[in-house]
Amino acid sequence: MNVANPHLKFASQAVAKPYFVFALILFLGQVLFGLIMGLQYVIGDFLFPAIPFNVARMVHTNLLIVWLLFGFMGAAYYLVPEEADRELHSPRLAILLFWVFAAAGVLTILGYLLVPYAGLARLTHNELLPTMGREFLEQPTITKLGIVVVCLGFLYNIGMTLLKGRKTTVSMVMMTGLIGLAVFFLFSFYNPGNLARDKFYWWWVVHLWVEGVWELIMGSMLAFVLIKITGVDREVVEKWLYVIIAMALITGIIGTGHHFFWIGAPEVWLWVGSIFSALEPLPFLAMVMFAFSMVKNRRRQHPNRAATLWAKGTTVTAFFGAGVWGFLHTLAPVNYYTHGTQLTAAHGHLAFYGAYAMIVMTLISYAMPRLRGLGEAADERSQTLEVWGFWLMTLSMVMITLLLTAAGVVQVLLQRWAEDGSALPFMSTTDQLRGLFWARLVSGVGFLAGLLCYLLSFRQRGRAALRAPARVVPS
Amino acid sequence: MSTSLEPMPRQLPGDLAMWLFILAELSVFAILILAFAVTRQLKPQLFATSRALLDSSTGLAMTLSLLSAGLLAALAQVQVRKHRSRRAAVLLLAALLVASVYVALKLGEYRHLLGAGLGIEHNTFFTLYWILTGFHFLHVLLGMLILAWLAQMAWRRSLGPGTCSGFESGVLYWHMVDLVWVLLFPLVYLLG
Amino acid sequence: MPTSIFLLLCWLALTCLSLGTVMLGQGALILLLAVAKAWLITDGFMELRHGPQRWRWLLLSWALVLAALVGLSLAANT
Repeated sequence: MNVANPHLKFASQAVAKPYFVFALILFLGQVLFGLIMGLQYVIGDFLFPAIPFNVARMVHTNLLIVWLLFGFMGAAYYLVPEEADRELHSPRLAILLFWVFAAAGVLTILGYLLVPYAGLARLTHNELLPTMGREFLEQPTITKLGIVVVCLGFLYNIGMTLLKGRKTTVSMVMMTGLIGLAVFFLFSFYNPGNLARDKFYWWWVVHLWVEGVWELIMGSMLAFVLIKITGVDREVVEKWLYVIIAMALITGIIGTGHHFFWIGAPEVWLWVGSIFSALEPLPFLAMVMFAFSMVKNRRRQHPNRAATLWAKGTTVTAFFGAGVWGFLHTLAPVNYYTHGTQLTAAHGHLAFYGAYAMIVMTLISYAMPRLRGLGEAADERSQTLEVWGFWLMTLSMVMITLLLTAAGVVQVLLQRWAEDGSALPFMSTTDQLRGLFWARLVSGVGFLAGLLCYLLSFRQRGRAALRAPARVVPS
Repeated sequence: MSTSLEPMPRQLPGDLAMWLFILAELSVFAILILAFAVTRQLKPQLFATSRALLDSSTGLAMTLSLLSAGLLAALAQVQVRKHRSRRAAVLLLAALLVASVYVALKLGEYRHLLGAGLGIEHNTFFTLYWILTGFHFLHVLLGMLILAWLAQMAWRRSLGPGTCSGFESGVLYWHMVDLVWVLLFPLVYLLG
Repeated sequence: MPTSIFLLLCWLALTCLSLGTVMLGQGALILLLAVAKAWLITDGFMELRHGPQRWRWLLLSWALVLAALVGLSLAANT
């Protein structure tokens, strides 16, 4: 226990707080740009030429990646000292890296918005080591180098903490995931002239992140929160974690093949990709079973009911978004028609929200009351507001997903299916989908309302929570 | 009486986590096997002519090698439950030796096929042949690694009925590899 | 019966079935032999004969269902 904040086991865990706060600010930005794009789908020249669609999209996706990275780092700074049972190796380095990363992130986003993309490339001397111009990896080379430096410092910091402290399965899995994240990011510097080869290795960053190492990070964050809020034996949790990781790696790594269908890679990938990625729902299903059985067999009634809700919610939403919606179009004969349609967008939205946005919010929900000195949980009113935020965001995202799925199906029928030349071109198809896109925009506003509820739930000042301490569940 | 050394009735040997993992593996192989069967039904001619290029005479030897290694591993488990850890280690070494016959035969077959230009890109049959048997081959290698690790563990530590859950799990993994092979072999080499 | 002897008998049965499979070489009958072998492995080597019934039936049916589906795909051709 430390004196400054009696609710933290180690004082250095406090460095997680700025990471979480900044992550949520970026999340708000991401949602705002999502709404701008949603409007541009139906009013094509909205905000043109100030923010063209392609720039809004770039900002929307880049903000997502960066805020999740901030969330993962904050989670690691909070979780690793507690698991290792010692203070963080260097809290000062963690704070320094926070400012470096935040400044680089903000400058990059401003660069996207204020300078034409080609100008940004010239300004940052992309020609010295060309890495720009690829979806999700649009960052100027200098930003990419900055990310590498931040990651190295971060890994050094938590690695040293782990080496000197207790090594638990949860923290080792987290570390493995984070090292994997850093290693696979290095492929973003490999930019071969051949477009097929470029795409091939591009997926090593994109796919092996979200369907590989990020699942390890998610698994360990989930395990950490579940140990804390349910009081279930660590041994049981660790076994579940092993199963989840094994399944995630078997299906995820070979499942990369489902991205190699139509990019000029050999035909064998049609088989490998279809078969192995068909099982990618399994690790997510295991996570659902894990979370629900832990909560059911809990040894204590944790006062933070919002965190429990997030922990259960993230597994279910991830199972549907990543698992079921991914499976919908992962088989090669299906993907032949659905590739790059609104179905992909539907899957992307529910998967990213369910798996990664929600797991970060799960950890924030658990850790934030402690980081803010409120105790184990925020007061009842704040929690009610947070639960409202949970349902508004989750249900809005489900609506967005269903509407985009419907749009995708219609799009396939109008634009892809007909073989007699009657198929519509892309823009005419999009015109036909207007109604669905309007409804999607309304759902997006609902999501923003949910996010605002969630953010408002942090308004409670640092007064002690008026709650009885955790009590043991009578058996 | 050996009955007292048998596991308690209605209890899973090994670890529940290993069983869940085995279930996941069996699902992967089920999909692979079904994909093979369905494609064979769609292209019977191609499959018949391509299969004729495979040499099934070594099939029996490969099957026996895997199954005998399975027997030796199961016997090793019996020894562990009788507190005879060292004997178990020796039996596992024997299992490894027997299993390496399979590895040698399979590598020979792969070299022969590659020499004849029948690689993974040759046609649909060979694409599936290489994915299916190659994936299984990797599992055999992993299984052998696990058996080797169990052997050294049994040699250095004295395991007994109460401390052999990890040992049982490792042996179970090997049996899973056997289980998949007995269905895979007739499908790929014989049927149709 | 001592467990070791039981295991040896399982192995003997497996060997005979394997020999039978290779001698038959063709036809749906070898699928039945394959199921028999799979069951010997699950009930014998994997000790599911002592295991919980749910797990036992799950693994036994894995081989049976798979063989049945393969058999169906064979029958569809002839």
